[in-house]
Amino acid sequence: MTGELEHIVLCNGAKLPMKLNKKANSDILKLFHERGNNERNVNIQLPDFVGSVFHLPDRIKDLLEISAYIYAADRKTHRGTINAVEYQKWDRSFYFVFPVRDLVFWNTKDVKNCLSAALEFMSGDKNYDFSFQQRSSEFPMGLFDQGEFVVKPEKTTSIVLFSGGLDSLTGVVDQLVNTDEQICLISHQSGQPESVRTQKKLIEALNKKFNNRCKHFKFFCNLINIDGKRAAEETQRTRSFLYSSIAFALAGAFSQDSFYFYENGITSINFSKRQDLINARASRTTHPKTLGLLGKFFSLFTLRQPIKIHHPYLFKTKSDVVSLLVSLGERDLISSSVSCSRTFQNTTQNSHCGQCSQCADRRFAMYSSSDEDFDEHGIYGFDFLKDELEDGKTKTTLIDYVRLALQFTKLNQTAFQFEFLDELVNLDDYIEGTNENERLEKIYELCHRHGEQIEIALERMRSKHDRTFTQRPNGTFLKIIANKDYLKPPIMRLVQDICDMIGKTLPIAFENGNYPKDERALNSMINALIEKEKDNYNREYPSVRFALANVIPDHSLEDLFIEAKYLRGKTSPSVASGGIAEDMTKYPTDKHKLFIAYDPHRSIADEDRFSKDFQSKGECTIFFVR
Amino acid sequence: MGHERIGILPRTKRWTSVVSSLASFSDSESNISEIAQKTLRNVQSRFEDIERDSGVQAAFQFLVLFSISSKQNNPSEFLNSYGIKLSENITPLQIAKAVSEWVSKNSDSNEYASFAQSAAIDAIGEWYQQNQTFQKNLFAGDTNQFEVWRKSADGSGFCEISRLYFSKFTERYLKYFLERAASSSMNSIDTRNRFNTELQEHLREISKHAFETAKITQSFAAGWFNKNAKDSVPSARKMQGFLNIAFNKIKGELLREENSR
Repeated sequence: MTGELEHIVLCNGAKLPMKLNKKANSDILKLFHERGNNERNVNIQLPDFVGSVFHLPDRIKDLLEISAYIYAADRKTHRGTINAVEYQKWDRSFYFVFPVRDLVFWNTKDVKNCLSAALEFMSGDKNYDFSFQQRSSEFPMGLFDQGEFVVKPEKTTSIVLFSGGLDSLTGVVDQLVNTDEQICLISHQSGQPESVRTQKKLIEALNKKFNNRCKHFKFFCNLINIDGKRAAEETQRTRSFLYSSIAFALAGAFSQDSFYFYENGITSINFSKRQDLINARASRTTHPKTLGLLGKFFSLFTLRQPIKIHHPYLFKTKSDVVSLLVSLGERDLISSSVSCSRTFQNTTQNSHCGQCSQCADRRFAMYSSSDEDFDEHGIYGFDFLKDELEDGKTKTTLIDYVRLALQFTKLNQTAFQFEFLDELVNLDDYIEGTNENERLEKIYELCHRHGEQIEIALERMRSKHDRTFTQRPNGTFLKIIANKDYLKPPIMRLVQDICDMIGKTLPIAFENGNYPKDERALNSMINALIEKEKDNYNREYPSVRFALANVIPDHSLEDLFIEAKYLRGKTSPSVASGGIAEDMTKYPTDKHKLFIAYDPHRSIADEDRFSKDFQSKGECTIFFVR
Repeated sequence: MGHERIGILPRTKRWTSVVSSLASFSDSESNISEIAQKTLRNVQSRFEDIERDSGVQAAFQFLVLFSISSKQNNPSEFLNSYGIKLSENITPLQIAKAVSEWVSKNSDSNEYASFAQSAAIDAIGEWYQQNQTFQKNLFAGDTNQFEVWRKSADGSGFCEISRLYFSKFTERYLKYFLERAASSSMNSIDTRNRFNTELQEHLREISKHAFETAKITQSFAAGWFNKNAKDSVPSARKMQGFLNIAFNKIKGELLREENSR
């Protein structure tokens, strides 16, 4: 809001611009990274590039510093607590002052605007503003103080961001198997020994199998805190900018106009699972819009063709990625990869906490692709399939993950587009497709497939862990998913809702012997009762088209037909069954038929048997009202 | 780090009471009205200030401008003169993109602006679904897509689209708090799903009562539109005045049952 605190960040000795002198309501942060400076509080270490033709242009040197400082300021500026009533403080306003070598370039309006747009979207912050000053001293070598990184530009090399997680691992294997290129893997090593070990182990395994085609470019960027505590802010939403800036610099070194981010589309898009999970609370690190905006920004650095950030797994789910890795013959690497987003909190030997959304996503993907046996060798500190969900956050993570996935399965494409319209706003301009419909269809199919895979995973989890004669303890995940109503197809849930409503209201409408005079009158009453609830049904079951059979001319357009049968005292069971059997032939066999049998005089004694005879023959429900 | 940060409610007595009510929500016995009331009471002073938020104002302003534009000879040109750019292919998604751009450009804070933007987009989507007979071509683009909006350019049409906006905004605002604790408080996915459905229905009923049953608001909305927006665009002050009355009416309806006890 206007008047809120603005964070002014003075980098590497930059002077406070005159125009900011009057900003009394500002917090000033000074950042230094040069070795030998007593105030040094940012540690940036990049390997020195060694190559006969390689030269880092000034604006790229500036970029590397700028991205590291933005990442450092992001981590040093606390957003606010997670138990605040509202999260107004979570969107921060930054004003950065940077000394740069290529002042003309950085002062270009397009450069400033594109950089702000990319950072504001990926971070969920309100504002990023910049002022650039001409730097006086020579480029300090302090930035490149981590040994040498040998560059051989004569060989075709792909640049790939590599975290050591399943998606980036699969992407690298995919490229190693399907191309003969050399691959330069870029990894951020922020001081977590477990992450460092994971990346090292995986690259050793890949190099052993693929003839040393992987080059590992590791860089460090962390904060130097005197008290030894971690940084104030752990969301690190701007890290994508730092990683991709380094990838972009390396791409230039290898004469490439592109680099690769491998992440599955469901994780990248990260549809909101709850209303509080907006803005900076949800990661947009590899969101298509983030990558699109960064690509646009990097393209300003060169007069050659635009820079392309490839996102090859955008239309794959996590389960698809696991299946791909297995099909590429690298199933054994699964347990060595690390997907957990809380590695820094893990204090046990387990590589995964088992409680975060990334761990949940990984486990569901493993069950969906039937590869869980390659993933469960004690890597999870918490096993949600066996342990009680005492932690509210874990329960929220799991339930909301499943709810969203199941919601995807219930919606047809039109309903999906309306339900997620506000999130599709950020996607449409950043995915490929000849028209809006084609692009939306791609997203819908991705989400729908993800939902179906989670259903499969749930079934497999139940069949593997749920014992018939063992009681499920309360508060376990298996207990939560035990009631399978949510797995019923929408059409069956609608049938159930209509039956519940008719079962309650029809006897009241015809009470005290005030029976309908004929079947037409009965149909009219049922029609009126359903019509009254129609809007609610349409909202709850947007993918199911339904109608009373006697009011529609074209039977091909509906998914569910409803027909009333009036069984009066003189109606024999054979007449009743004959009438229904005859009506069944009127409708397409693949469409569901709901027969509401109003039987106030109990003409049919054994309604269960009567119903089962019909229901066993196909898409049909017989519901008796008395 | 964390791919997502799970919000939690403050551990004060009055929020703990909301969590207790959430835990007692069940399929058989709905206490949705009580939950909504308790939540609103906890943030009553904030809710009373919402009308002053620039993002909330911007989203409402978009709906007003859009309604007015639909009776113009050239709606796109009219909107363009106010800085709202629509693509030639006027689909719900393209309109939603225009909402997003407009709210982002005219808001000072992301938090309320997010609810406001989403609520305006919800309102647009629901209006389309209610007023468009053939949904088949909704996302394919159609030069006559403005036709559906013409119905919003009179008193009763404006009343309905406003109702949708305020209903959706309030639903999202309440969920902003309640969804932090809902999943951890309930023991089945069905119950959790039912909770969201009931909250949505409750807000729909509340807003309908506020805008339709309560004739005073209905005639106020229609009258306001006919007086202030029929031939010109209402001023920011007049729009804020409308927001004030509408939010107060919704709040009054939400708390009404409690006060009448």
